[in-house]
Amino acid sequence: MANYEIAGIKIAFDYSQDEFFKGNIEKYQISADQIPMYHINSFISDQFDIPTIPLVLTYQTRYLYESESESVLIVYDDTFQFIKQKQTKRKDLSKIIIQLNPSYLNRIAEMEYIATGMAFFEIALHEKRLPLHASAIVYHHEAILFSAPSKTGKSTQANFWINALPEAYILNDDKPLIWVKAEKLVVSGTPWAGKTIKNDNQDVSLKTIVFLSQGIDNKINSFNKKEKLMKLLQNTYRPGNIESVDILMDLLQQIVNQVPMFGFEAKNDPSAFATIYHKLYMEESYENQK
Amino acid sequence: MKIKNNYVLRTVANEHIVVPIGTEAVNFNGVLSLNATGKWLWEQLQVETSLETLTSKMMKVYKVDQKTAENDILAFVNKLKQKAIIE
Repeated sequence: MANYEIAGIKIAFDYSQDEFFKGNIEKYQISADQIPMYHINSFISDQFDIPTIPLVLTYQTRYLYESESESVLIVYDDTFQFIKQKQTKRKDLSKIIIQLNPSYLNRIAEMEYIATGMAFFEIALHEKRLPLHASAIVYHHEAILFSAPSKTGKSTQANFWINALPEAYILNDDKPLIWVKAEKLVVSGTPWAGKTIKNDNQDVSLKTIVFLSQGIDNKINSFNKKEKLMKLLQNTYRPGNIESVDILMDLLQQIVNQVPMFGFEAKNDPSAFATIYHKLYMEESYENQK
Repeated sequence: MKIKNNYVLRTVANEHIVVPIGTEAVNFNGVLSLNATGKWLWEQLQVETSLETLTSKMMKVYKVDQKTAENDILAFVNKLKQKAIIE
């Protein structure tokens, strides 16, 4: 198990499948003598022990067991023939164990990437980092986030910027973290960055969030505070307890008050880049929208 | 009638937002945004309350007649019933 520092959070992390992590996660590695607060251990095994603590919820193929100190989630396959996944979490998130069934065969690497990502994002919110479903690029030392549900075209829009501006690069292509560092809102990359795995280990000032939708023409829409808030809520991680709700709401309050945000109905061609670039860097009134 | 446990009401950026947590996050996959009256009704419905009691309270607080109060309460409660948030 190696130690990593991601967005200022020190974790010990052990994974079993190289596909999404090897050549990716090493840039976050720190020395073994730095004590992590959190541990995520993911491994492959088809030997599953059913928890002896109380069953508190069943939903479709998911069974949740809870005691005062830990929770255990068992996920069955659709036919209830076998257990696909078991997650054991201490309530303070200091230790999360993810056990995956090898019956996933060729999808097991993807399932481990998704499951460990979800575990890390829960820790991240606990540590006051907001995971936003977005593709984040860096340009002129500031982060621009394209946020939307899956398959809207976040990565496509990010790539229009990368292709048009040689100095632009991707900070995280799926779920960057937004947090307060030295009293400023910053965006950080993580090794969990969607299918492209594109990410960088940096903390960058947050310039703006663009909420994308697909359009026939390029059209920018202004949002009031309520619309900004609801868009953020639609594209972020769901808190699991009251403490996380309060952390989430505090972060949302700061983001809504400090960060320019707008909607963008985008064409699926490079003209979309020109529209947003003009809005961000050529309109004098833009800074006044903060 | 009473709102189920495991819903958290918070005010952020002057908006009243309800978020499900724990087991209710499975039942209701979303968030609610309430206006000021909705927030007041939500708070009253944290404990078991009858339509008559709530109507009487609303008539006093909002200075409205019985029919208006009942209509507003029922419209609110029916929306919560559709989402299985109230029991």
